[in-house]
Amino acid sequence: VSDLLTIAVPKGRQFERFSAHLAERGVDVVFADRELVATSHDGTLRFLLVKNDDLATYVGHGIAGLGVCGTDKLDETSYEFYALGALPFGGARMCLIGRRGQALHLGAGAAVKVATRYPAVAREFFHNRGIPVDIIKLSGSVELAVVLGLAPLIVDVVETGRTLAAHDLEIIEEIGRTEIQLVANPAIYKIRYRQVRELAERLLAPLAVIGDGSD
Amino acid sequence: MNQPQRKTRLQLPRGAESLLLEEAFVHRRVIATIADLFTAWGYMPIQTPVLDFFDGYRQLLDDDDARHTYRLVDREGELLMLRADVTLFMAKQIGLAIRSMDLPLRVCYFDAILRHQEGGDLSHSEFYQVGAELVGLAGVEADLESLALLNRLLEELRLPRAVIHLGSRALVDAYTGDESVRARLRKGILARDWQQVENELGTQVGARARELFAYVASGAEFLADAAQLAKGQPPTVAVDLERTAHIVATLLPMLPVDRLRVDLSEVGSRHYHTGLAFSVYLPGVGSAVAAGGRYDRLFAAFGDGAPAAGFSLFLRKVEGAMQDRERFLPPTERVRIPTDDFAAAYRHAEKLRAAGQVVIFS
Repeated sequence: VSDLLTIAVPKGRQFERFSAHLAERGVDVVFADRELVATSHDGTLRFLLVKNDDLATYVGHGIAGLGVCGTDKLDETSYEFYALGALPFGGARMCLIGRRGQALHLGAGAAVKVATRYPAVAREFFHNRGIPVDIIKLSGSVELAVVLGLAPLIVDVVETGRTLAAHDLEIIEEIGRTEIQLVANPAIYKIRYRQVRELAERLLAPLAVIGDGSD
Repeated sequence: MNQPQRKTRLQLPRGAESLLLEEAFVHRRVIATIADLFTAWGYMPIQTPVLDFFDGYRQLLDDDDARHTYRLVDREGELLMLRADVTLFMAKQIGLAIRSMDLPLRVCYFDAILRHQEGGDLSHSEFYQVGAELVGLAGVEADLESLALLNRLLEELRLPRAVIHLGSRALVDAYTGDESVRARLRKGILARDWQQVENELGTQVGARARELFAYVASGAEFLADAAQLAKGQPPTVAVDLERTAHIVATLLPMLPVDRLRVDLSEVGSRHYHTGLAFSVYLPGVGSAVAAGGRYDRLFAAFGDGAPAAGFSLFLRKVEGAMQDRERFLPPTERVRIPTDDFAAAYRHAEKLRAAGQVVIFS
């Protein structure tokens, strides 16, 4: 068992944002070409670079003690986590989306067909409204479902709205906000509570606060 | 072979587990070692039924527990449940007969349980629980005995980095008498979800509760902090923290360094916990490997009441982490004896077996 505290971080744009966030707090992490594991320059932290969809699994099984993960993904998993706090980037809206100008009669009899990468979120939204729903699970390019006629509605994360506009889609309703959370595996939090708390404070506190503390 | 046949012939049901050869051997040896330990402490085994009537347990299960229980209907139409928690089944077996028993009673068990697990961790619906329960003692001495025995078990299995996190359900009860609020509050605390705690108690009281339930520290630190922690808290909190401090102060000199911590978010995962509550965590294992505490009202659900305290350990979670695991391995040296004359070979083999050797006929 490694004594380094391990953090699972998502590939792609979220990693770029997180690594910039780390650098502002004096932690540099660089993954060598094609490497998926890296150690911070001070040798205290280990980072795993994983797909966003798999991140909760690595933390849930305790392979990583901490994870940087969107609440959109966390809401889709049944693993238990401690949510330590939201990071100041990557927030978005979870939305119900349909074709622009399309007349919809939700709850008018038959189940509404919805394509989504977030079946749990979509199911909860419609069930809370008492509307029967037929969920079609997709893993990407969800907007195509409406364009190609797979489903009249999609539930998906919207950051800028440009993709929707490009496909002549519009937001029908904002279901909720998503944010990037720092989460901990409960057992690892317990075992290494001091280290996890110190790191969480460092990562979650505004820069001004960290600066005040070090002066 | 069509697809359904292939599936039923080649796979186990989702979540089921089988052990083969060396792994099964180690498992049995570990159980025998634990049984010897429990026997030396005066604990007698109890064998609980693999299934029982669901209705008798429903009031003792919260909705999540009930949802994770495997249920089936028997030929008479009765709803049955598979054993999902040995403590519950044991409580019924003992509760029904408690009037004729001499208390206190020390019992131990070694049984598989089945709980449905949602989502990712589908490989583990079947767990092997070993546990010890002390029935009929309400005092702190039963809490001490349970924790001391648990520590001995961790030593016996050579798990030096295991840590016991100690808390109390009574602290939740100090905040509210409303059963449904208690249940939601307990879940919020267990999840360290302080927003949920504030939702249940309001902002001001919720913030005070957070100060208490977020507390984690070493046993020695807790002894220094306990009086300060009680300030501004509901009146019974101080009494419960004093009890916890007594337990910690008594056990600390007996336990390895950093074995015992006080973690007030440990409020007991089961609906039926009452006072002391604790869990054991182990580096490299992503969830608690053991849990226990006090449950003084459980037996009354099945007959005459009796206070009780105990713990259970998820054996399969720790078997891979034991140091010196080789002491549980089967002997590798085997004497092979030809059986040209079977009667002579048998007599020779028995002599060698009596001397402790493994002998196989070849």
